[in-house]
Amino acid sequence: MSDGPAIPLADVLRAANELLSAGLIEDYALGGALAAIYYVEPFTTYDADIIFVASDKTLSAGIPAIYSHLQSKGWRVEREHLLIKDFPVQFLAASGLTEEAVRNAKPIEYEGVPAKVFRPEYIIAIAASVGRHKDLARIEQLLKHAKIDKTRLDDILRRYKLKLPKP
Amino acid sequence: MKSEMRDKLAQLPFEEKIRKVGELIQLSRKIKAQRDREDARNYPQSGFRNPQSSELLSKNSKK
Repeated sequence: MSDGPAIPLADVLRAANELLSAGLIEDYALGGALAAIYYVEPFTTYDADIIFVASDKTLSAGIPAIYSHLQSKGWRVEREHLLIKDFPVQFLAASGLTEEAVRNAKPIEYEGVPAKVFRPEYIIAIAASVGRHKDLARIEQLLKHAKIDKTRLDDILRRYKLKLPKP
Repeated sequence: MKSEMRDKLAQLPFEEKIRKVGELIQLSRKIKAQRDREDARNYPQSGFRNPQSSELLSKNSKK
């Protein structure tokens, strides 16, 4: 990863847009740590999460077609990741809360590439549903440093029967 | 990190934040490589890798 940016995010988003144009996915958004970084201070993370709504509603969620499309564009597969310029990316099929997060994601432009990123209220709710130590830290970070729409957050938490950790 | 500094960093453009994350990744790789070299120098025959340096860093580098 000595040439170009350490995180080729523009390439990742361009590829996701191609999947969208090719009809292989219905919608997508940037999730995970990089989505949180959109709202808070930068911290170390080693991959990107692209959460997509599958066009193919079968159990495979069209993942084989997505992989083969990206591999034809030079991406490599390594365990659960696809690698672009040695940077690992996970393509995760959305459902339930994550699908709603994709549908309501915030449109952004990254280095001129149109994309969408999870809204902070959804990042918090998803972190609350997962509940690992780093998710709890992410919740705290977002509540402190991001502008949160409290009404939206409360509504999501109520509908998905989630609770925030006690401070 | 002080709260005001974190707020200031949070206000940076996304592109700038991603560049900084890239720098953090490269720095952590550099430190890991340096520690691996030191371990190899200190324990040339055993193939020993100090868990504090190698394994933990490698674990931390995964989600």
